Amino acid sequence: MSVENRPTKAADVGAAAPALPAVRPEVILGAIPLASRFELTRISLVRRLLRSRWTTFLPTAANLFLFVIILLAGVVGTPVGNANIAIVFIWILWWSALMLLLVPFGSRIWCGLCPLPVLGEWLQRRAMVQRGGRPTGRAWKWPKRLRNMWLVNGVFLGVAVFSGIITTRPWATVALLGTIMVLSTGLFLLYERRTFCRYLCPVGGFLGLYANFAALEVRPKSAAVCVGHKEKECILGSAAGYGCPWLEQPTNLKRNTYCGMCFECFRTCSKENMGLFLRPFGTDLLVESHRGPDESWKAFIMLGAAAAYSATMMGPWGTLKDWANVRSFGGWALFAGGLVALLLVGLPALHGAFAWLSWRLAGRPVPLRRVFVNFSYHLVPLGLLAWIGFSFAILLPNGSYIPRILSDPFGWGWNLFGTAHLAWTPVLTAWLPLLQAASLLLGFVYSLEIAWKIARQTFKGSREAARAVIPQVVLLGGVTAAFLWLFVG
Amino acid sequence: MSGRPIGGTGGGIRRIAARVPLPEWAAIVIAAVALAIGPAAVLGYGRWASRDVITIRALQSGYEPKTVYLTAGVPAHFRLISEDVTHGFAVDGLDVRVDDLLPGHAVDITFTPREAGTYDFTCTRYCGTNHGLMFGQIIVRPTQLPQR
Repeated sequence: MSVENRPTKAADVGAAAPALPAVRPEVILGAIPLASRFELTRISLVRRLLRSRWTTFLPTAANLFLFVIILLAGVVGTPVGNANIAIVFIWILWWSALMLLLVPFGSRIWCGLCPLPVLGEWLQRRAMVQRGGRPTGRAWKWPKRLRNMWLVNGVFLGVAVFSGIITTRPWATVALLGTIMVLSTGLFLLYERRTFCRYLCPVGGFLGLYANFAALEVRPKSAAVCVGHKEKECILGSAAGYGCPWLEQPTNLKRNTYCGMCFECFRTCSKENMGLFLRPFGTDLLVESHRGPDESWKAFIMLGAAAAYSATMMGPWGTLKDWANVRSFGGWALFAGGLVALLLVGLPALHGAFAWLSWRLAGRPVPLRRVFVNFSYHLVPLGLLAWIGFSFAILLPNGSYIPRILSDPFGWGWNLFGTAHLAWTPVLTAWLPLLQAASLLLGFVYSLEIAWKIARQTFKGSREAARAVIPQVVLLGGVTAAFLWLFVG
Repeated sequence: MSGRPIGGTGGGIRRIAARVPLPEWAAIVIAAVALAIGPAAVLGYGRWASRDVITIRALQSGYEPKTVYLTAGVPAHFRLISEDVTHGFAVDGLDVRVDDLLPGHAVDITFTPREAGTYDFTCTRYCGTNHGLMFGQIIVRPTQLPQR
C-alpha cells in the first residue's frame, strides 16, 4: 500500500465514518480498517451516562472508600504483604486490572476514577458533583519547559528503584499512595485544573503512552461542527461543566495520551458533538504529530521495567531479589544504578543503534532524530503485551488472595464475608507459560505491523521503508525472544 | 438545582448551607461515607465480631501480649497471628499446641483451662536468633462464685 493511503487528517482526529475519504482503506493486521469506528454514544444509555456528573463521582467515591481502607491497612494492618489489603488490592488486583483490561480496552479510564487527586480537585472546584463557581487556589500555569513527560519519567524511575519494597511492604505502598495524594492536593491548589495528573503522576505517564494503543477513544464526531462552534465550551467550560480538566482541546484530539476520560467535554458540548468510539488497537501510534523523545523514553522505561520486574520478582536470581529488597545498601545501590542505567541509557542506546541502521539503510532521507523518535512508538504494543504477560504471572498464582482479603483486610483474623479461610489456590497456572508466550507473540506481531506503518510514514518511498524496517524487525525479534526466555525459558 | 433560602437572622453556616444545592449535599454525604463513616463502620464491625477473641501476635521480638489472664472453667478463644516468619505456640500444662503459625494466616483455637495457676507458653519453631525471647504466661484465676 502506498504512502498516500495513510490515514488522512480526518481519520487522525477520529472523525466518524462519513467524514472519511473514499480511498482504499488502510488496514491493520491485514483485515481491520484502521479508520473503522463504532460509536458507543449512539446508544442513548451511554450518552446519558456520560453526560451525568454522577457517572464520574460515584465510582470515584467507591474507590476513595477502598483507598481509605488501604491507607488504614498500611498503617495499622499486618506487615505481612499477602495478608494485607494494601498489597493484595494494589499490586495484584489493581495492577493486573490496569494492564489486562483498563488500559487496552478503556484507555485512561482509570484516571477518570482515580481517588488520589480527587480531594484536591474537589477543593479546587469547591464542589463535588455540581459545577462549582470560581476555583480555589492560585491556578498557575505549568512552566512551558516542563510540559512533557520528562518529569513523569523521573518520578516513575524514583519509584521504580524502590519497587522491591513498595510492592511487598504495606507501609511502603501506603507511604507512596499517601505522598501522591498529599502532593496532588497541594498542586491542585497551586496549579490549574489537572496539572498534577498530566505532568507529574508516575502512573499517568505510562497510562498516557499505552492509552495510544487502547481500543477506546473520545473524539469529536464531526470536525466541521467544532470549527463552526465558536463558544469552545469544551475548552473554556460552561454552566454544565468545566473546560477540559486535562488542558486538552477536545475539538482537536488526535491521540489518547492526555485524555483522562473524565467525560467533561460530553457535558459541556452544547452541540453534542463529542463521541465515545471503539476502534482498532494501536490507532494513535500512527499519529505523527505530538511525538517526542520524552514519550520515546517512556516507551524504553516501560519496556525495560517489564523485563527488570520479571527478572526480579519471578526470576530464579535470589541475589537480585535481595538487592531489590534492600537487604544491604550496597546491593540496592547496584540494583538501582543498574535499573536506571538500563532504562535511561542501555535500552535507548540499543534502540538508537537500530534506528541508525534503519536510517542508513533507507539512505538517510530524513533526520536521524525523527527516525529514532518515530520508531520508538512500535515498542508500545510489545511493551504493553509484555506487561500483560507479567500481569498474568501476578494474577493467576496470587488471585486467590483477593476473596480472602475481602474478609480480613487488615490481617487481623477477621472473617467479614466468610471467605477468610479460603486456601491459597493458584488458578490456571499450567496455562501460564502459554498465556505469556501468546501475549508476547501478539505484541510482536502488532509491533511489527506498527513498525511497518511507521516506516512508510517516515520514509517517502516503499523501498526505503522496506529497507528501514529490517533492523526494526531484528530488534523486535530480539526483544521478544528475551522476554520469552524470561517468562518461559 | 438550588436550595431554598432560609430567612431570618440565622448564622453564616445556615446561609452557606442554604446556598449548597441538593445534589451537592448528597455528594457530601456520600463522600463522608467513603472517607470516614464507611471505614469506621468496617473497623467497628470487625472489632465487634471479634469481641470475645484474645489476639496474640507472634513476632521475632516476642509475643504480644506477653501475659494473658483467663478464668478457670471459662472457655478462651485465642487468635494466633504471626507477623513475620513461621512461629509456633504451645502452652505447658494445657493441651494447647500449634506448630505451624504461618505469617498472614490467623489460627483460631478454643480451650477451657480447668484449674487456676500460671502456665508458660513458648514458640515451638526455631524462628531466628531471638527465638529465646518467644515466651509468655497465661495466668488462670479461680472462678469467682457469686457472693451472697
